[in-house]
Amino acid sequence: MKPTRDQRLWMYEAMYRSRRLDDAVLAAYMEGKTPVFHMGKGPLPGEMHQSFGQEPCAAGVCVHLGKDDAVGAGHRPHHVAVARGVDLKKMVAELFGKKTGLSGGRGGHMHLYSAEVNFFSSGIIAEGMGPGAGMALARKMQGKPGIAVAYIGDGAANQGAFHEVLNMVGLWKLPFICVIEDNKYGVSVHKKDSTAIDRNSDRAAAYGIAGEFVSGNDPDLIFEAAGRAVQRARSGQGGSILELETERLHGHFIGDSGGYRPDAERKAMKDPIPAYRDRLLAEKVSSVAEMTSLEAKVQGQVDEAMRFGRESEYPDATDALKRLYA
Amino acid sequence: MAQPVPAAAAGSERTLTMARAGREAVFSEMRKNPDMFVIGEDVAKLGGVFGTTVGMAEEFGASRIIDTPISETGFIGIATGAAMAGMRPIVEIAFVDFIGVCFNQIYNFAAKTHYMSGGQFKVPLTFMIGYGGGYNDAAQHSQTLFATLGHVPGIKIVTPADAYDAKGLMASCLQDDNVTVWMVHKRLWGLGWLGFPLPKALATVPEHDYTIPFGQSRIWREGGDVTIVGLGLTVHNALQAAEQLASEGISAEVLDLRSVVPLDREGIFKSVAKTGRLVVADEDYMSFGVTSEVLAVVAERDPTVLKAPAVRVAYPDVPVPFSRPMEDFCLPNVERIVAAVKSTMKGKQ
Amino acid sequence: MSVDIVVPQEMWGDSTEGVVVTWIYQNGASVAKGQPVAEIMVEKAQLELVAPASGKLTILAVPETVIGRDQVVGRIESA
Repeated sequence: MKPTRDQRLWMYEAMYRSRRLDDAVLAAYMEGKTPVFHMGKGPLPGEMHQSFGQEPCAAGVCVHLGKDDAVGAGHRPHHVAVARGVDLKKMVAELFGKKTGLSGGRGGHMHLYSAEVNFFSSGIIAEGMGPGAGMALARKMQGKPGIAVAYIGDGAANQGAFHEVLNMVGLWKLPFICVIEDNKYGVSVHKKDSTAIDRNSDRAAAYGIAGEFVSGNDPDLIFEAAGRAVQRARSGQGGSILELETERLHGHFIGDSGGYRPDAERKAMKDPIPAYRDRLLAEKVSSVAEMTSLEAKVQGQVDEAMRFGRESEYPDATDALKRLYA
Repeated sequence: MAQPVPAAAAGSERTLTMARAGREAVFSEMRKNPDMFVIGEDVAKLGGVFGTTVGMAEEFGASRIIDTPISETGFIGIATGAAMAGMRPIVEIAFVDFIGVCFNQIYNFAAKTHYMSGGQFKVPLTFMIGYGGGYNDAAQHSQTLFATLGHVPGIKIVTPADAYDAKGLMASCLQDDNVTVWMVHKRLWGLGWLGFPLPKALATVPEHDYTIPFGQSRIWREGGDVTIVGLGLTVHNALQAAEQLASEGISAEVLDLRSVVPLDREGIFKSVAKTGRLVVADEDYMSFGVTSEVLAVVAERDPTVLKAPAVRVAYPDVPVPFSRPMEDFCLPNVERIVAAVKSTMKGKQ
Repeated sequence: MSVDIVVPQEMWGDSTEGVVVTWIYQNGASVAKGQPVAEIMVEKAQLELVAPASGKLTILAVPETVIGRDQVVGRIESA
């Protein structure tokens, strides 16, 4: 099933919003960290794993999801959070560690939670697989509609949790999709040096679930494959692995030069967002005027969110000791 | 504050094992809460390795008493997500030693999600866990690990020492909206194949529902010369030690922590301030553990209440040896507790 | 009238000996039919013995004693 015009524009907008956010976050992150790079300095401290290049993986899947569904992401969550519809202002405030953040500053960049849109992210590789599948199980037990999606990277497919969880997803026919963002790198280690087989989607057979591999980092192709996986889950046929070939345009985190990657490989990478824009214009799905207007609107949202994050107050320090327990 | 156990009602009193008493609380909460389910290995057909779920599959069915593959990381993660989505899972981990394979899911995600999400998500998850040795199950199946679980924030841990407390504390765990751990020493369950039930582990248990608050210790025996702090099986060892000491003119107070997290620091200090002497007995490894924490309570509040240095009777910092004489040597048994008390009494006027 | 409490045949398997682990009710207690009244161990399995009738319980086999198949471990006298 191909995407409609509205869905294609939705995907473009989600990707563009994520990218403009990541651009703004990168600039803010580097404040206070030059000339000497110290992670703990500046208004946006800590680690920062950005999503440059991987935006289609979020947009092409989340376009199919609604309020009954649940989404979990990993340590590189921004594009997924944005596509999922997490409140942008609260998300940015959380990155800045402000009390107006999603978690009042308690979570930070890798631990973005939004109960409002059933979204969470976790910083330990593959740790979100189980909870994601558990949200699928809960919907099944409660007789409620909705499926769950968990995002991991190609490296995570070698973590024990991946195998354990997918076996249970297959065993219990849970309405769950494991989206693997195959950017070919686990920090510095290439997939060919970590994974015994070429495609993690082939591992689906080991768990009695469906597996599909999508190359090209193309929102329209991802849309179609995701549509199939979502349909499977919604119709009670069970789980899927959706392995999406994508590109990690930057290093693993800000500060990682990616020097372990061959130059030729880096130079060959293509940015999917301008490419999609060009396609939408070429196919006359949209016009320059419409695009420009959309982009200006999104830029405004990002600017507002960044301003909100910067200007919001920090939490009271002693708040750290409060609300450990429900 | 330590509370005495209420007097048992007359009439057809029931004396239950801890396993049965714990189950009663689970049955009651499962009947009240359709969102509650049990998940773990061997919980459905077998009824739990230590009898934690006997009879439950028959009543609640396979959809609520779920046998899992051997995938602790997987099913604990799944239970966590289900809890975040409004269910109330009970997770069985038969042996505490197995938390190693799944510790990340417990301490890094389940325990921290309420905090990291700023309260957006609750994780009402209860673990039922067996621990302890003394029956030659060796290093990987005999541990206690209160300190390992207790050290990381976000988890509440209780360890009842008799059937009455087992039911009340289980009910409290199941009604709590946080990650709670209900741990029972294997020699206290009341299973014949782990040794006949210790007489004081059996208790009169009311049929009605009741809870026991977290962070409330219990004084089993009042005394004036020394406070022996114990938890789980060491409460029973302490009681035997107290009997022996009484015949020698030493009056020992036995305080059962009941709750590792939160710890009843008030109750500990109050008792030690009264007696002036402290022995703490714990089957977990000595260093960096419960015994250290109990000593810290006194040292921080007012070490001058102590008439003699406090003594720790804990498992030495070695893996649990298999061979019987070696294992018996390491356990915080009655003899070691008696000797520890006597060492605090040297030079008593 | 008096009803014997014996461990049901299907619980024995191939074993001929078991042991009483604990009685849930005291000697002389009033029990109801179908209530669990004792826990016994056959081989490594801990099994539940239920009251075959309602009435007053008399305990014959005390805990930690070995019992044989068909042994009467207790009695229930109904009024």
